[in-house]
Amino acid sequence: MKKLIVVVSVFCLLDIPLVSYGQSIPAVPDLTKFTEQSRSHIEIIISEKIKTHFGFDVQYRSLSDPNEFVRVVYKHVPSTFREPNKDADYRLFSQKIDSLYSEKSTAGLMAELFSHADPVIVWRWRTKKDEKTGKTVADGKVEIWFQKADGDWLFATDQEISVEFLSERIDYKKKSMNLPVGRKYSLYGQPIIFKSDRPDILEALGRK
Amino acid sequence: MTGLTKALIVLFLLIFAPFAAVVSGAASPQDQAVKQQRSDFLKNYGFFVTKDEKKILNACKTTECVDSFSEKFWLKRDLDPNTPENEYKEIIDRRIQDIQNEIFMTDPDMFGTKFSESGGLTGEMAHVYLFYGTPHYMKKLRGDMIIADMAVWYYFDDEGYPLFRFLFLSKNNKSYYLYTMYSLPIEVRLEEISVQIVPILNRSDPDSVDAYSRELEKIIAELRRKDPMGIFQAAIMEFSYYPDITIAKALQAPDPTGLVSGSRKPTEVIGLPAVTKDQQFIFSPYHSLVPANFQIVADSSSGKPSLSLLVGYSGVDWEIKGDKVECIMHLRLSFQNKATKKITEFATNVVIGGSLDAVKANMDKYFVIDFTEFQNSESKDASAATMRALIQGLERGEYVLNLYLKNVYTMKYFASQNEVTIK
Repeated sequence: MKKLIVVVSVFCLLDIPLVSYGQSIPAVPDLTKFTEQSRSHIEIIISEKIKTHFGFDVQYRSLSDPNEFVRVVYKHVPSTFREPNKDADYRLFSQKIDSLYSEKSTAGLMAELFSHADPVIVWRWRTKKDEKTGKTVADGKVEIWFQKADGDWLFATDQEISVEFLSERIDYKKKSMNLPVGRKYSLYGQPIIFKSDRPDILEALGRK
Repeated sequence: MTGLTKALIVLFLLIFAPFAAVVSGAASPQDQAVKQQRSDFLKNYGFFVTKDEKKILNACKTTECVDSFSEKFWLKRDLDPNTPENEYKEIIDRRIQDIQNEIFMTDPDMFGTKFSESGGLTGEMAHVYLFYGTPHYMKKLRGDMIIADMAVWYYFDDEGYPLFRFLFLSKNNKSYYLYTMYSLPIEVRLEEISVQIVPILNRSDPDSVDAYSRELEKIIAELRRKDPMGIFQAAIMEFSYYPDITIAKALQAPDPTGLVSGSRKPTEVIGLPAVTKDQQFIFSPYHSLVPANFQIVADSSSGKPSLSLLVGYSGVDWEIKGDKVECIMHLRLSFQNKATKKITEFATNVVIGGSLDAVKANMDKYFVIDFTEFQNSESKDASAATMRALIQGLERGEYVLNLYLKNVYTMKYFASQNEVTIK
């Protein structure tokens, strides 16, 4: 394939100062005073052996106030994992050993990805015990910080963030497939897109 | 043979035979040490020793020979020769410790189960544990006057299917043995789990056949009552979800060569950053994001959009090249016609460059990437050779426009999905 390159000179292309929307909104919570409670991966499964990780969904609890919680969605560069094909003999003994090592190496990579992930959505809320029912209920508003595609933060309270799964039509081996490629979070019509690049998916599909 | 000869032979045997026995039975302390060393090795690792290796080990007559065998044995099984430790041996030794510590004794699912009562390290339960570790699911079923005590260990594969169902039986309330009757008829399997059924001896006697059938029915009814979820019943019927995996294969000593390299392939990861040690960057404060504003402006005269991105200088990673900087990004756009599903693609590499000083001085500014005249590397014909030409060639209709801009080294990206109408 021919590679065409476009060179853009950037000497004083525009002289527009960056707009800071962040000045008027509360600061994103400082997580040094919180402890991690749970962590899950944000991923899509493309096939039995292929999945793409985009980020993490982590819940924290305040160290000083057990009723205060923060949940953060982190975004990292999309990483497509492709499991090797396993024949029957391979599945037998090495299944257990290999899975241990696969988990070990994947865990290392996940830790690396987590250390290079951006927080893009943050929720903060408090809970209390309802004296009548004895159940745990929300105490006050849920605060939300949402990073727009241009890097600026939006702030909202008690808003629903919609999640939409993205798919793209991909031609592979003379077949046209509609494959999942990512997900989109939206607040006030502003999106945050977690998505893998089409050539990465094609590469993962094409590898033996 | 004369009587005298016979008498001499008897006399010879009487005198020398006990002496010969003493001579042949006597082993030197060194022989004893070698024997003990071999026996200890086989006690711990016997299930992992292949037939050929066992021959070599048994031929060892010195402790040095056994040491050398042991060293080679583990070397062949080192999962990662690049590390000083032998990960494989560590796993096995940890499992041996678990067995010696009787880890299932207090486990709620296997309460009271002791490896030592089922053959210890050389027993069948230890065999399975040494090979596969803690089961993903395990359960005990207390027997009665009809069926034996049972314990089942399930191991699932990545897809969630039962790779192995190991069923252990106990008919004396203590030691467990492994059930292996998978190739035999169902009635033989039921006989195996029964504690009292007598195998039918005379098939021509209708009374015997009836009595036998009634016993089988009792066993089935008891199983159903005690195992409503069918966990034990499944383990009686089928060892693995996969027909090519048999219990004999599952318990074979693993081939060390296949284990270490041949069939063991690592998980591949695509899309990770590809920054080399020699490259120097001014990195943006973001780890994953290229912050940008994607602008679609409709041309009122043609009804076709023009596309551009507004990007902050501080939002991209600049590779330092002497007194210059450069940022190479791959741009991919696709227009999918919502009605026809036809996809029209555009791709190009965008190289943005400037002087190091100028970029540093403009970190609080934006620049615009206008795609209109960019050349399309995905196009073979002139009608879509540039973005302008591609947009001009689009039929009227509604489209989903996907855009993906990615730094080719750090993989940080900007993605958008918009709906556009071409009039």
